[in-house]
Amino acid sequence: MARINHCDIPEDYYYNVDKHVWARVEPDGTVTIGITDLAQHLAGQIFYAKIKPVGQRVEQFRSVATIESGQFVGFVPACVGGEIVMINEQLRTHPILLNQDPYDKGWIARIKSTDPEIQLRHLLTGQAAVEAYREKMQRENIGCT
Amino acid sequence: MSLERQKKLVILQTSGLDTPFRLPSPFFIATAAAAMEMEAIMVFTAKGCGILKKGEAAKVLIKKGGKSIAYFLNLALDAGVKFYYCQPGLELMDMSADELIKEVDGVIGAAAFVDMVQEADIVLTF
Repeated sequence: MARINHCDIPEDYYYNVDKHVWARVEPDGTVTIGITDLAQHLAGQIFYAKIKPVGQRVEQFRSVATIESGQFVGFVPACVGGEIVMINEQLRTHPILLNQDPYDKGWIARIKSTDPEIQLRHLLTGQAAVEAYREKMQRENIGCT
Repeated sequence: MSLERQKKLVILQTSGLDTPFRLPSPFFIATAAAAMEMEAIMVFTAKGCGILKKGEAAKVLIKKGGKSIAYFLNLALDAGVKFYYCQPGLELMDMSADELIKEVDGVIGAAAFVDMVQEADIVLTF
């Protein structure tokens, strides 16, 4: 796990750094998606999360959920497009999980994609993602403190 | 492809920068609607037109030490909220269209506004 400006960045995840979202490939080939540690820090305490229902299709980087905090409201872009096969029902009653554990208990949805390898090419992972985050945080003077 | 009609929110904004504490809510609600894939429209008239004057929203804070009105306005623009202004409302404020921020989508009159709200699912006034 990399750590930049106090933000956690698991190196085995895939990221769109500017959209603040991650993807994690599961053993069955589906892809779990969520928001980053930096995103939840910038948003502040999240008190509302509404996720699109299971069975609905989403395109890559289009809305998969809406979240709201005291100073932010907006949609969460799907890091990978496809059919939503599972959503984190716990977020309905405990949206704070997005703040407390954005990479695990605060996951948002699981996507079944027909072409995950192609879509993952549009994302960054490993050291490339860490470096992109380092540059972004430096450029925008942001972090998780 | 979905055949479901996109829902529409229209906010009529008449309050302006002299009452900054009234301004975060309409922008925030419009932003939320856009994030929830509704068509979100704000129509500015009377003092509301003053919010769209270039540079003005950045000068006014919602409260001492708080965020500027520009923060909420930009949040709405980034989410895809459309902004329209009312021509007579603009004249009431002794303003002209070239004084408005470039992101404004256009001008709207009373008849077009009535058309717009007849098609809307939610109409709010602030």
